[in-house]
Amino acid sequence: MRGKKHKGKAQSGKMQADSAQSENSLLGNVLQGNVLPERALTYWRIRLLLLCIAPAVVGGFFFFTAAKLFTLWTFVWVSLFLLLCFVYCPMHYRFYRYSVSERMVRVSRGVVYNRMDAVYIRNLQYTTLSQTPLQKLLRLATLRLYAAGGVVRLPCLNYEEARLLRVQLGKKMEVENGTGNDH
Amino acid sequence: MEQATTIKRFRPHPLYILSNLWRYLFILLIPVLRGLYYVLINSFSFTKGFQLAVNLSSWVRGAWMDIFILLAFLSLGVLLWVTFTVEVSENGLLVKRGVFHRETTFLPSSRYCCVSVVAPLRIRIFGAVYLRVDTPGGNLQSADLLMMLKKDDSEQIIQILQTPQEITPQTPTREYKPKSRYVFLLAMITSNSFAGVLLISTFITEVGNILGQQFSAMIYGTFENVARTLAFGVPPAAFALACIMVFGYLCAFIASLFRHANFHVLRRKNLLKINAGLMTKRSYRIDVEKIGYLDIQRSLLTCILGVYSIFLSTVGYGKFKDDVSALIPCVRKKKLERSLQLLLPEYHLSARQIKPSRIRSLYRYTWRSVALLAAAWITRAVLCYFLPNWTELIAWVTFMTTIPLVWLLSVKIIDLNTAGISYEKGCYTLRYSKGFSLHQVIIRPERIAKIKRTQSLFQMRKGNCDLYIFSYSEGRKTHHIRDINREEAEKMFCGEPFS
Repeated sequence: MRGKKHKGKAQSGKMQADSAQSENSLLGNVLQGNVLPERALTYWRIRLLLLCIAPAVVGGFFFFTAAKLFTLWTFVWVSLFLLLCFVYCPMHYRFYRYSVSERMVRVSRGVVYNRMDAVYIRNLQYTTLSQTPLQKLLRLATLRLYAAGGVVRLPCLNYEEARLLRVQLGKKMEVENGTGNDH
Repeated sequence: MEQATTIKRFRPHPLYILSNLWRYLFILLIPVLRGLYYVLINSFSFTKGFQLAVNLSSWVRGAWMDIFILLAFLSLGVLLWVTFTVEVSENGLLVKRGVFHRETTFLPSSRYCCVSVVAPLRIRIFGAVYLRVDTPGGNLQSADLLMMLKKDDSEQIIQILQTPQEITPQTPTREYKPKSRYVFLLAMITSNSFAGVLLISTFITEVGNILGQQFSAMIYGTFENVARTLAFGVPPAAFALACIMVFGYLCAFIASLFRHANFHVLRRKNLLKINAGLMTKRSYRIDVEKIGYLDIQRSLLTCILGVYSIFLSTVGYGKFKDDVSALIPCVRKKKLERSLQLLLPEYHLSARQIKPSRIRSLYRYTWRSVALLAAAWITRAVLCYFLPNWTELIAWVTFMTTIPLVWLLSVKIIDLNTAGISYEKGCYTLRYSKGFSLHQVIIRPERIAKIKRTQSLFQMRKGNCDLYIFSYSEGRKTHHIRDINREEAEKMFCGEPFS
């Protein structure tokens, strides 16, 4: 357990070092398969916990009206919660990868089905950086890249990294525009 | 040496506080104001004297919850207003908004296709306008940036952005202003009964929501009675249907006329500025380089009158249902080339080079409308046989259905004689029909996103094909040219183009 924790910390440290290193050359070098910060997993779990309020309230109603239904209902939602919290979320976190290269931004994800979204930087039109109160608390942010014909969403990035990425992609878009590639 | 960047910060118009929460405020504001009004008028009595403080305190005790919620809503509105800022520089717009859910959006100025200023009367009287920015990215149903600003601020933003760049007051200007009768004709062409009916029903429902369902029921009831009274010789249901159609058309026509009034276009370097509107004033600034295509539209009516309407397809222009989408509302055939040359000399209309065979392609062009016509009359015969008491109504409905179907058949026959494709001076001209309208689309090769060719078994024998041209736009826009020679079409699009 401790080893695992150390490994996690080492990975987190590596991520921070990576983040610092990439300040000047995030787009200069091809970064392959970046992982999200570990706080992203915490964020998903807290969000899941908040989502459990609704079934818990329904369960409370069943407790006073239908005892058997309450047992069944509670068993179902608690099992589902545990499954999502301790199996699905870690797997989703593990399979989630994003990379920013000279030409494109790629996001690969999916537990059951693997899915990859890629967008050419030359096709990018504008970017949006957003933070929910919970994300603000965990210093995370969601970056949306709007391209002609689609959107690529990078959720739960390190806030600083997301901000930097937004600025650098903006510059890169201007360079692409200078070369005359507007679509 | 790097060029210095000017950054200016703007905030929305204070009206934004109310506009955001108006729907919710409206429910609370009226009862609170009404209560306050009664407190005030009942405070001055000849017998008891001046009792404002007493009345006010008892009113607050009774309505404290309403007042509290109202203040909470207003505070939220103020917070939303305070946190909404736009930083403008030559590079683009940096928009920050949200109280709990903070959002920062950066729209680079190089990506704008259309910057528009929309000023409806209800906000214009307070000195506010909507600034709308559109890029090829984002949602098809909404603008990439829409914010309510002071009129002066919106003008400043446009000046800083200089959309498109390098325009000075000395830049030569070409202007096009259509005659009023042409605007009238455009309103006639672009209005349709269905849109009008939707407009009326939405209006009645909205009024019903505010004044109570009894009001809506009263309007619908009155209409039913009038239809029953005035239907001489025709079934009341058919008369009501006809009334709805005519009234719907009239409403749509008036709305369209208001929308296109004061229409004029300015061309300065690579900027196309289109202004229109009477009640809601609209001003669009379009970068010529980013125009998708030009669409010269005709209906059977305009074919008879010998006039054309030129529409512009670009991201952000004509995006919403009450937007203007025309470039030249109406023009005679003789003046078409000249008007086009004046505003957009980059676009050239060429004569057909590849066209369908008039005899061999007849079936391909007309079978759908002929089948619909046959289906209508077969349905009439069957219904009359099984429902003899309804013969009058069935005959009327069939007659009403036959008119548009014959209309459609006529359009398809004209299409057979005019459809085709050509390439000249760097522009493709695509001629085809869609529904009841005939299109002549002028598109540049770089604005074609995809070409699709389909061939049925019958077409394979003749060596013909159907061509689908997908143009570069926010959504999916296709141009379908039927039954043209496959080899020639492929040569035009994939091989060496004709010159």
